[in-house]
Amino acid sequence: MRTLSQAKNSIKSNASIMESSASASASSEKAFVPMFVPMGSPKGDSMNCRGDTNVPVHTTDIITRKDVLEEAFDPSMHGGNFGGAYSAWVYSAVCFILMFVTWAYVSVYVAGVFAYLTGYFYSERLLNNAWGIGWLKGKTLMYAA
Amino acid sequence: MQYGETTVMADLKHPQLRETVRYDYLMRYLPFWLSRRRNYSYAIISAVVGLLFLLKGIFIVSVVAFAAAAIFYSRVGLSDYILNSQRKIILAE
Repeated sequence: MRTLSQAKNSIKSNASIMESSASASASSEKAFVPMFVPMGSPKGDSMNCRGDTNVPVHTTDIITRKDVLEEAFDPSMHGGNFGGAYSAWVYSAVCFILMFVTWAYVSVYVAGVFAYLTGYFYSERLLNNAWGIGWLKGKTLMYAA
Repeated sequence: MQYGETTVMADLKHPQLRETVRYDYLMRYLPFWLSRRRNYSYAIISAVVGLLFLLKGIFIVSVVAFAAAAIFYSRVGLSDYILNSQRKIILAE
């Protein structure tokens, strides 16, 4: 009879064969804890968990791959997702180059504007990274093998 | 007599549902999204280059550039096929 941790490890090693192309940077986030799916509890409800504290009910969403990827890779910069981080990084890189170009050929005051924009877009990149990638990093997701 | 949808079960060596985390799932499909963006950008750049050389009168370069634009644009659909899949996944809120 296998223990629960042995079963989890075998599932993990099976999954790692199929997902060898995936990044291993989030492996520490993998908990593989059983998901608690309270039937009939609408999203946003809270329930008494530890006797004295109310915690939000974690429900599951059954959606398509298209919906998940569209939400994550939406290139609008204020979406708080991966696409926003990518767009903000591109804009900050372009402004960083334009800063030197305008400093050399136009005026130092115009270069100052591009320096400000570089910092602004880079902070947008950090915000999108924190919300879209860091915050939702360990959310459980199941897909048909 | 009506029959519902049936599923053919086979002896699988792995569980049918895989559990992973959102980040790893996104990293799995990130190359498709990046290739889509790159191919789309290269198609537009090639079309602009082709138009410029067409106006310049250097037709051999413009023909090559338009061919490259067509090839790059056709490759956009390959990524779309993966990214716009309607396969169901279960995501914890």
